Amino acid sequence: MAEELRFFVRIGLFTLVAGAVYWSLTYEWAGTFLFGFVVIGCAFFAIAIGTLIRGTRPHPESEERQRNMIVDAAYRMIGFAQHPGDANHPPLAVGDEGIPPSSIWPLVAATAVALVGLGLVFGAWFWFPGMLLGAVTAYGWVTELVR
Amino acid sequence: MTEAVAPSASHRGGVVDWVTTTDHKKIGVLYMATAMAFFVVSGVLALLMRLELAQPGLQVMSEQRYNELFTMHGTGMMFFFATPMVIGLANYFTPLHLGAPDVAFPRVNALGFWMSLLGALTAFAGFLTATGAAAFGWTGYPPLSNATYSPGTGADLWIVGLLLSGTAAILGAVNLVATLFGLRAPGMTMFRLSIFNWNILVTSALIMFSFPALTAALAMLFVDRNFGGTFFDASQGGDPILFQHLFWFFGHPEVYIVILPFFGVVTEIIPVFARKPIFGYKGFVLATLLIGAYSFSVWAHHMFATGAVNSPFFAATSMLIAVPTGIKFFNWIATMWRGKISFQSPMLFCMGFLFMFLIGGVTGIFLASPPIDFAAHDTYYVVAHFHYTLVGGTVFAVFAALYFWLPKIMGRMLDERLAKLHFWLMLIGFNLTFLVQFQLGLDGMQRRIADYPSVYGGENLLSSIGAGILALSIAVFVVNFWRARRKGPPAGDDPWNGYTLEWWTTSPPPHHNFTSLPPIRSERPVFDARHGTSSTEDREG
Repeated sequence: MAEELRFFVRIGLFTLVAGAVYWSLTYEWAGTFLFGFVVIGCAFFAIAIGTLIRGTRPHPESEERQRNMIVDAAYRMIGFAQHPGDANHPPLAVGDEGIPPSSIWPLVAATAVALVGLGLVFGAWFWFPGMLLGAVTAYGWVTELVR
Repeated sequence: MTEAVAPSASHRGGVVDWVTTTDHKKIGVLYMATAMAFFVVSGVLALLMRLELAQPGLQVMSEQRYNELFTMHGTGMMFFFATPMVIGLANYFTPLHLGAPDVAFPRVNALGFWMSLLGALTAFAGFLTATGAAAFGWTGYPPLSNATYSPGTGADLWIVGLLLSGTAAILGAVNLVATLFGLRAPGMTMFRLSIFNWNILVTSALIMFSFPALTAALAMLFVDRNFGGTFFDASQGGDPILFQHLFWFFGHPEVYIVILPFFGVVTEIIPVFARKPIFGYKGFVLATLLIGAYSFSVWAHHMFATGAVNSPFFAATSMLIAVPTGIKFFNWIATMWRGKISFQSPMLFCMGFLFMFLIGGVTGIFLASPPIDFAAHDTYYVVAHFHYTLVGGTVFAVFAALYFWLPKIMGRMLDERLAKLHFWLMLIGFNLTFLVQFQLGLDGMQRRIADYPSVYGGENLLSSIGAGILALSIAVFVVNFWRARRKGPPAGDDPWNGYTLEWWTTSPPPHHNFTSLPPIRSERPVFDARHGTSSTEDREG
């Protein structure tokens, strides 16, 4: 089992046992639910990582080989132009290509979210511009990515 | 699927470059600068409180204003200093330790920073409203925080600010986990990660699983306050204890969120200045995992005094967490044992961290015992305890990290004499401020009060003088930083003869971090490359 997978499995199992002991001692719902939330969260991540590993690995390989496959998949998924190279080749030796460029949209998106939040306190004067800015951000962010 | 996009605009200078950056190093610097700014602001609030408490009957501010100060001091230090500092250091150094060119989701990373900053400004904007900032303590317990007892806008701004910064923290954590799992350089297996990165991984998991509980609690509180909700209204069938469960399910892991990364920092620094490899690498990893897992099962030791929780369960789990922490202390001491130790400023702050955090930890074990907690609850004993863990632990380690890594970030060395002056002033000031507070607590002085009986006057005066010395020590750091930035001597690539990959590249690192990497066969690849030593697996079997 890959160590990445084991990480969430271990935390999930520990929390499952702790939650079971807690419930058997207290019959208290809030804490038991919170333990359950962590177990479900760990299961979610374990399944996601397991699926990624299975999807990128046709047959059993060494850990390093497996990991390089995961890295390859991750690099392609997030838009990096090239794998950083293996131990014999320098990583990203050639300039800036592939790294996402500067973008104003993260700042605009955060402003939109903050305005919506302030709108909950102060009303539509903040809420409405926030939603409008959010829509503009969504368009700008996506079109920047596919340009 | 995204296409490869246009070349980076990172060469543009000035403000535009900083506000549009997606470079993990610049975002890391933004996080750290913001965190230090809120450290100073929240520290000033603390100084005002110590001014108020210097003498009994000294009413330099109203009691309501005092309540606002301790609320925003705690909020600022926990949410807008410690947590962003963790994410800032992780942003800068996690990819460098991995041999990666950036983080997994650079734009999401930038979004997280801006949300964090705007959240902080929103929460502090309460001071600009007619009714003042939130004034119910950083824990925000209802019914004190409901619309009846805290009717002002400041309370709503506090909730919205925390929701924003909490969401930002989750974004940051997801990004870091994806980076740690997906962008490690060839050869960098999980058991060759730096201990700093192991701690960042566990911390990120804690953020992902604990912050949603806070988000839920705050959203429900906001609904109660503004939309007629009754989640925490006992008179309408709600349950105020539910808020405490949700808050502390976040709140106790939060303590580990702001201390575990600094366990990692100390574990990186001590071997470098002891000129030895880490003792018990796998023991460190195991202890980190155990602390992370245990931290989800101890939350209600903060709620012993409610009488509504199972005290033996939480007492047992809270005491158990001392075991993995003890493993770490053992390994730190064993790493130094017979080492060639040099007490340069990063190492000095690590020593300060070890001693101060030990006092905080041991007094925490006392408080994990319900009978002692019943007696000491809400007294200055608790205040002293958590300041020994969070200032003696986190803040000392923050400065250890800054003295260790600022030469890499700035490319310039800080002045060692000023650094040592900073350390000794901070150590004296900190202990003078908080050691006497243990006694104040045992004598029965309650916390969160703006005035007190004159019998507590002497200890409070000492504590306030200590706070002044502590502030002076921070001023020394600011001067040192400012001087180094302008005319500090060049640091070179590796001023400390470091072990991990950040010392392989230039100071500061180039846009993509590395132009070459050494073979990675252990958790200290730079040392291996320069001295031809064995792998972690060979050493530990």
